[in-house]
Amino acid sequence: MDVNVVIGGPQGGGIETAGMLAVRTLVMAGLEVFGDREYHSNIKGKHSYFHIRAADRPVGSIRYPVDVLGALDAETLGTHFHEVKDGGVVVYDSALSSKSLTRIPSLDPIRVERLKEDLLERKIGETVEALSQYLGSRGTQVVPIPFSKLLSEVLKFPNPLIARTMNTSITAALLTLMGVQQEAISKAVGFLFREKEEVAELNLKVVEAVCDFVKSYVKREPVAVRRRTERRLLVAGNDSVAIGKLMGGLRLQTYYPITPAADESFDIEENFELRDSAGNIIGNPVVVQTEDEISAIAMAIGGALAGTRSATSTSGPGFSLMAEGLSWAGNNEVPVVITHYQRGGPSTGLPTRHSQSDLLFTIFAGHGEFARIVLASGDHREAMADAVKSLNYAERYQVPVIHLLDKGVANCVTTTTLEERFEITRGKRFDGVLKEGEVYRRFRFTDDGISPRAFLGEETMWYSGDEHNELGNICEDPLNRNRMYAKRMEKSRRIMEEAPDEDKALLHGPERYDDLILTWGITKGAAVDALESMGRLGRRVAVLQVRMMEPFPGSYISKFLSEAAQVIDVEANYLGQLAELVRLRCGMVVRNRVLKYTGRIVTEDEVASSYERILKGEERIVLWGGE
Amino acid sequence: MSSFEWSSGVWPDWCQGCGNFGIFTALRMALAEMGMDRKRVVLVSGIGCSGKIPHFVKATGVHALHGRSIPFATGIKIANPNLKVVVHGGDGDLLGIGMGHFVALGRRNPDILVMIHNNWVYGLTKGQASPTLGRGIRTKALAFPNINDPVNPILIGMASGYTFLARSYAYNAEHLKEVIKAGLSHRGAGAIEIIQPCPTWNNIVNMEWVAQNTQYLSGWDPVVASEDDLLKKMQEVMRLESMDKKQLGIIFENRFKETFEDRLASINGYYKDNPPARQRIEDEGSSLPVSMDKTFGRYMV
Amino acid sequence: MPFCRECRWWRPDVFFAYIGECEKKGKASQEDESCDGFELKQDAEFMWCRDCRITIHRSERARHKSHGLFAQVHVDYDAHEYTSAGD
Repeated sequence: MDVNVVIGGPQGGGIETAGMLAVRTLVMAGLEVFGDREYHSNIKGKHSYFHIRAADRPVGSIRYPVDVLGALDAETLGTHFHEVKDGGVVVYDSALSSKSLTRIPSLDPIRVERLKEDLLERKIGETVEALSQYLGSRGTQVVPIPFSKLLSEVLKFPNPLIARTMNTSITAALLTLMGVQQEAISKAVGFLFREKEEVAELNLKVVEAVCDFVKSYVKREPVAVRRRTERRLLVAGNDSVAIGKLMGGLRLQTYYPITPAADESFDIEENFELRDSAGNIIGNPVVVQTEDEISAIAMAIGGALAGTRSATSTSGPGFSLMAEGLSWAGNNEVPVVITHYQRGGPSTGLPTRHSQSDLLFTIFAGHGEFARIVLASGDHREAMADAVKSLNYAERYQVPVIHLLDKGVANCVTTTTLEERFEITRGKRFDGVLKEGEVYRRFRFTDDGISPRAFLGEETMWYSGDEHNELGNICEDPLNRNRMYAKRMEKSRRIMEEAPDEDKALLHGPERYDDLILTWGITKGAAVDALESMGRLGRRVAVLQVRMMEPFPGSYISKFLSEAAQVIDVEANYLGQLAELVRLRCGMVVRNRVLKYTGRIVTEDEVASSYERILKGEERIVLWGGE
Repeated sequence: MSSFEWSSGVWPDWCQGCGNFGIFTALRMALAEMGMDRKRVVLVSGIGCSGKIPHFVKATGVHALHGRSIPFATGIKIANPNLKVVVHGGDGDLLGIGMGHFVALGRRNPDILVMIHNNWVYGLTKGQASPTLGRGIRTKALAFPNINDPVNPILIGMASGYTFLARSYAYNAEHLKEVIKAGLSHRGAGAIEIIQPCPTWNNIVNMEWVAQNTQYLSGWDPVVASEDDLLKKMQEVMRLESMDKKQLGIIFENRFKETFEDRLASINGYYKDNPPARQRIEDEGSSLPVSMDKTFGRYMV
Repeated sequence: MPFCRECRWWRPDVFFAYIGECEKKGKASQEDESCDGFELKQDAEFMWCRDCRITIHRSERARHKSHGLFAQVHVDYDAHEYTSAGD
């Protein structure tokens, strides 16, 4: 079982709830899901959709073509119809039938032009009805349902309620048409609206009425419900990082609201009571919304100096503002974590869309030279574990750590396994022992380059953005400068030596391969999911997912690359930044690049088809799938 | 302890006659007279001549970024509210590049005292006009008289929500020391504007200028009597600040506002007893036994 | 005869503290010169210690017992023209 569903409609019209209802229903039926939320930088009115993939094995990507399309408006139909496979299912409110596909104010004029051309080419009239006929002629089951009539006549709903339950209606209808039992849908409704009894009741009535109406149209076998014995998590990346941070001992989170990072801070704020199995409170983090990102990094550094595990979460524009703070943290060996969720840039860019275009920036940001760690997660479970690792790395080596993620990880929802215990290492602490007349030296030179750390309040110490001596006081002496500078820089080498291989890179697929897909971030999911179909072309393919970007594990990566006949870089930016990094650090040139910078995530089918094209001789492929 | 015991021994490299020496003296005298616990004191400073002060004081110093000493200080205070956190910065640092944070501190009202070393110029970068330099005034380094209007830190502080505002003069050690002590004793966000002579760049503010252009407050009650009294007091302060001579002394004190720490405690009942810095976060190298069900139940299926 | 360095009118140079300017006579002199216009220098709340090269408060006087302390110092008005920026 591997089905792809798209539910679309105007933002503010309930797409979020519709999508989560579908996701939860499918999860409760025992399936694994991966759902991609796409939306505009807008509060109400512009198009948004949820692309949900449900399968009986874990998946880390979405795939085209779409099997089922649920549309709350004509814009969704016009935008997504070309993604639906022949023989698929399309559901919408029959009241839309006479509506125009092109005279839609919220639809971008460029998209309108493209749609008009497409409709003309396929000889479809510009109405929903015309489109419906066309799809029917291609073998697709088109099911226009009189939702508004149903809700007003059968349930006697007044208008506001009809509008508000349209999303539940569509979702219930399309799930039923997929073969999902009403019971599963009702259970999901109960969970989703568990805190508002009236709303839950209302939606249950809707589900009953719609499922009853739709059942005569169902052509599929019922979806078998698998009882899952093990507990799982259903999370977006923002959620799993929040959980990881809290498990990892984070007790101060600062943030300035920015998409797609802010949800993580809301999660932490809501989960401020960490309880043990007896219900006792064993931890309580503090979350501070700052006046800007400069304040966010400064407050996080302040907290870290005071001995609290501190972090801030942001995206590209915010990280730009943090560059000076990062440099201060590097100079003062501060264990602070910056969680960076990349989004479409440059500048304001595509605030709600995906990219992997800040890789080089995070490695080189901040003036001057200093040691830092950049760790990139490829999926939600990794993101949780890496959140803990970032805090550990930060305190162990007393360096700023950038936990690098992307909008794909941040916003996509997926099922993942549960982790309950993580390793915590607080690094070298000052033991408080001072000889007669000796004073505490925060930046004491030691054999391993790491100074024993006291927290503010434990000893008297100095920190300074200026170059400093062991005490932390300003010092411009050239020999002290040499020594202190080297002390900081040498940490990178030490980190590289001591980091476990699994933090450097992961190989997915066969150990022996002909061709190697080089990738990172959420794109890894699409590449790994595509291994099966790529393997059918007759060559052995594996995926190398790079995780530690700084210090870059050059020799470790080189080993993998040199085993391959062909290396194909797949990532969501224009330059092929990982490939550029490989050239810089390994001295190896990766010519084949599959690049996507539309702001939508790379899909499984795109990796598979690109691989085929590369084998046929193409070198640089630009992807543009997905609306 | 004597004020000398609050000297770190690092050579203060300010110019002879710099008002920072006066502030440095009064600060150490205040810390000594109040019998502060040295380890508790954290001086956070910005960039500039005034920003160097933590290195010369024998107390923990965080010499932070230009304009950003306030958020550094706020983060430190939130993590460990038991620390006595004091901010030192120049007028350019705190009221120019750092103005956003200066205002934000007032909105939050944490127990942090800000000392503004006000010399009308950016000393360390060669004397450019700062946000407190009056229009039409031409200090040594300016090619033309200043064409910008100055800000009044007392009024901005008051509008932002500071609960303690005062002004003093760097070379009146006794007066400044008492004002600092009052500021350190006040619970909430405080700002002291300190008129700081700068012999290298500011040829206008000297002893004569101070004598003619400042006035020590006498018979003025800065304390807000009740919550209803607040508006009236603020209006009186505005009148005070509109006078020709700059008023020296404690200008405004409001004890009716909750501190940021109080407010955090009201939404997070465990904050006072278990602020972030005091929380245990690991159990013999392993994460705490946080129950997934009881804590993160909403994410579980 | 008492030296200029003990006189209330003598202002030592900040850097070359053995040379100073006599405010009364309006001319430069070395610290060990003498003249009949001598008046003993007086204390002030803040004084410049030429040995430690810092300004000290009268409460710290005891630590600078044998040092050269001066209420007023000769400051070159145009010194700013030949400083480099510090930051």
